[in-house]
Amino acid sequence: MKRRTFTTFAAAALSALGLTAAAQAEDWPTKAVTVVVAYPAGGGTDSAIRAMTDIVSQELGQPVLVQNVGGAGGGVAASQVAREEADGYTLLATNSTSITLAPLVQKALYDMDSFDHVAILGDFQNAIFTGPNQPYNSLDELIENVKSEGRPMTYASQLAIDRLLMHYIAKERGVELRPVPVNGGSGAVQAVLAGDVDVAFSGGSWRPIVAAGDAKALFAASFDKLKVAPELTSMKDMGFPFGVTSRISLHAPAGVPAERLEKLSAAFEKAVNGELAQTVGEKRSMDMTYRGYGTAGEVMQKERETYESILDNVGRETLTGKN
Amino acid sequence: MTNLAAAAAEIFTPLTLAYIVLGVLIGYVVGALPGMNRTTAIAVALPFTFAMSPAAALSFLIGINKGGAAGSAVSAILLNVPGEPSSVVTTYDGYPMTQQGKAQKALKVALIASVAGDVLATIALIALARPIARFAIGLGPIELASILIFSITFIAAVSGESFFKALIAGFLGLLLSAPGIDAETGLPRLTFGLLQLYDGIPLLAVAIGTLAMSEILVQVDQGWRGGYAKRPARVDTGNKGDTHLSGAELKQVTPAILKGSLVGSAVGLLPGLGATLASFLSYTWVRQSSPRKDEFGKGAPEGVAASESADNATVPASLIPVFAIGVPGSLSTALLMGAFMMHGLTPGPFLFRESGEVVFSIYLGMLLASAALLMVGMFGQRLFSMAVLVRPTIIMPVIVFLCITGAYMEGGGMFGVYLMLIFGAVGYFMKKLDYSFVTFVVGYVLGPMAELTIRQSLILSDGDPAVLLDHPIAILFLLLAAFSIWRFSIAGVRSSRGPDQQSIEAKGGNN
Repeated sequence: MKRRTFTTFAAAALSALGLTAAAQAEDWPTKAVTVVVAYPAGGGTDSAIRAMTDIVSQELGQPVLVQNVGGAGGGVAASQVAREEADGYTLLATNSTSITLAPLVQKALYDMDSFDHVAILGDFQNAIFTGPNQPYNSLDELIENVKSEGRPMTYASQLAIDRLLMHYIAKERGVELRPVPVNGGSGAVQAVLAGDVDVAFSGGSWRPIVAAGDAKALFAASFDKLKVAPELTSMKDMGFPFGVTSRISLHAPAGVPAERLEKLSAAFEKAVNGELAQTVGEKRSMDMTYRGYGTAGEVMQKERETYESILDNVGRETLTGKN
Repeated sequence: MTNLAAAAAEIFTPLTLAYIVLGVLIGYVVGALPGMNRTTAIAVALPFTFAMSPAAALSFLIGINKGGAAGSAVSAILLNVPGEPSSVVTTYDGYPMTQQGKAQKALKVALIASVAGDVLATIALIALARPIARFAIGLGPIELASILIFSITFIAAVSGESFFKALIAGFLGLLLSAPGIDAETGLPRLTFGLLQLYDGIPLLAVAIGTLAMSEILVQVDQGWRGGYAKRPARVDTGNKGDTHLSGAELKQVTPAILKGSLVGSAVGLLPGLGATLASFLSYTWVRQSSPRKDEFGKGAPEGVAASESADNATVPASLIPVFAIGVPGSLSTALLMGAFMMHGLTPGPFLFRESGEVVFSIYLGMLLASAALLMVGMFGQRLFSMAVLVRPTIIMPVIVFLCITGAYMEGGGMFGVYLMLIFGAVGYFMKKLDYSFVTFVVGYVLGPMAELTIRQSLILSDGDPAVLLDHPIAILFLLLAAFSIWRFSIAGVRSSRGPDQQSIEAKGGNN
């Protein structure tokens, strides 16, 4: 903490000496940049970021440190970074839903405007999948099957994003929904393969399993078609006005000078398009398409509005438990 | 056959062999150090494997896992401080053996059991991965819930003389697993507004506190009363019968090792159950079926063998669903699956078709890791058993340092350290007042999974018990659970009343 105050003091002293803002921006960064990854080491977001650090640190001319702060679906890291000093030395790499959706459905210590949105580094390829022996091959057939058997539709429920989507689909198509809580992505795969539930939402782990013939993909959860599986029906194809996409997003505490954000954003652009990051994306079924400072903010805003509309549609109390 | 030849050519290079030995060594040391955890070791080592060949990288990482499972017995036996929660029942018999001057023997039993459990489960993985995994994945929440209910009733079985105290500790453990996000509603429960508790109380910070820190406090307490002058324990009596394993003794522990390997493989296979449960169930089973039940808890080598073989058998067994279907059952296997993908291997049935050669190399690497484990263990034991000779005034601060570092890494920063210190004090009083910390830890470890599977079962069955008729395995385990409640609690209640009962001492302390 002390060192940080000293740096601020030094910076203030330097500008008092008459150095221009531009000269300062060129000097920045003068020390290591920390990227706080909101999930434990080894996950999708973590491996994507780690694949980028070499290029980013080359571009910035300073080391890049990765710190994993897991917990509360990204909430612990987000509230920690939101409190950091807005100097651009601390960044948050997280799943965009923890910024756009989480503050809407649970009491959080931050909101969307607690952050500057530096960049979107990639899109998860979210899809809904089912067991290999289920009689249905599309959403329509599933709904028909559920209605003809007069039973509720079951699904493996993990996160706010899939609860939101499934409640929305169930409401639009007029079926009763029965969420079965599961433990993370592997719990969802387990429940689907065992035939315990009709469907599950998956961020990308569905792909190898579907490829192996152990499961069937029903449709993409995103509005547009998925890049990794363009043959899959999207939400738009089925006539829904919304779809959901979770993204790997990069944020800074709100108030970082714009030129620093641009510099960071440019460094990450090179890194995302680097060979290593693209390979990791391919292996983990993530579409590593870069969107920089400015565009990132718009994407985040749009994502927020989608979630708000869906929440209004299904009724906020469905997810938050309050009226 | 050509596969095998190619695999051998891939693995038997000096560099790959060195990686395997290095992996086992890292795991062994990390496992033996209280507070350090093998899952973290794998996560930290993961980026270093990018430059290795896929087979070398995975053998290296699996080697860490194997070494960790075996290494955790060392500190449990020598210091009464389990290196990891999965070795908590090893302290029951391992530490009494050390106090009797049979530390070398206990360590040998533990090592042989670890390696045997490891090899047997690895063979199961190689021979039967796909059919077993198909079966395991077919076991839904209803079966898992009944297995967990059955396991929880075993808490009563290890209670020994302080039956009610053990139950209280077990339920306290279950209660501790309650805070966190409610799985069904997604709303926080008992979190007191603390974001750090949204994923539940960090298990490892609590485990480090109750298992390691508390033991330090107990020993400091004893030292305060004048215990510093004398050596805490003798490593060797100098008597060959106490350091070496005789053929008869080997024969005596063999059934325990086989049972432990079986339990470890079965538990490892099922998602989310984990090594702590495996060693606990195995120990209870071996004790209950032993003709010399009274010896357990006082230094029976079978106890050490049962616990350690089960602990190690879970490592290869937990890889079965990963290899065959691509579904990880625990955090450390999820990390390994990540490693597979980083090296361009997609776990699941395609793995064998597309990269059969690599799979054979990994199998070979895993078997070599077992051999490396035997080697590292042989040398490691000699080295580590010197720890007992070091003055407590030196060794204890080191352990406290490791505890704090471990809690900081595992428990989300200083929050984890505070938790660890609080539970160190809780564990101290539990030991002093003879509340079993084993049942506490078991309750705590089983709680979240038991709650989730029971609630899943209730939702899926719509609360209709008739569903059970379609699940014979579940019925079997529920009947076993009912039997075990009847058997252990009746006996337990009687023994807590009887003045001269003959049950084991389930004390955590060494007093």
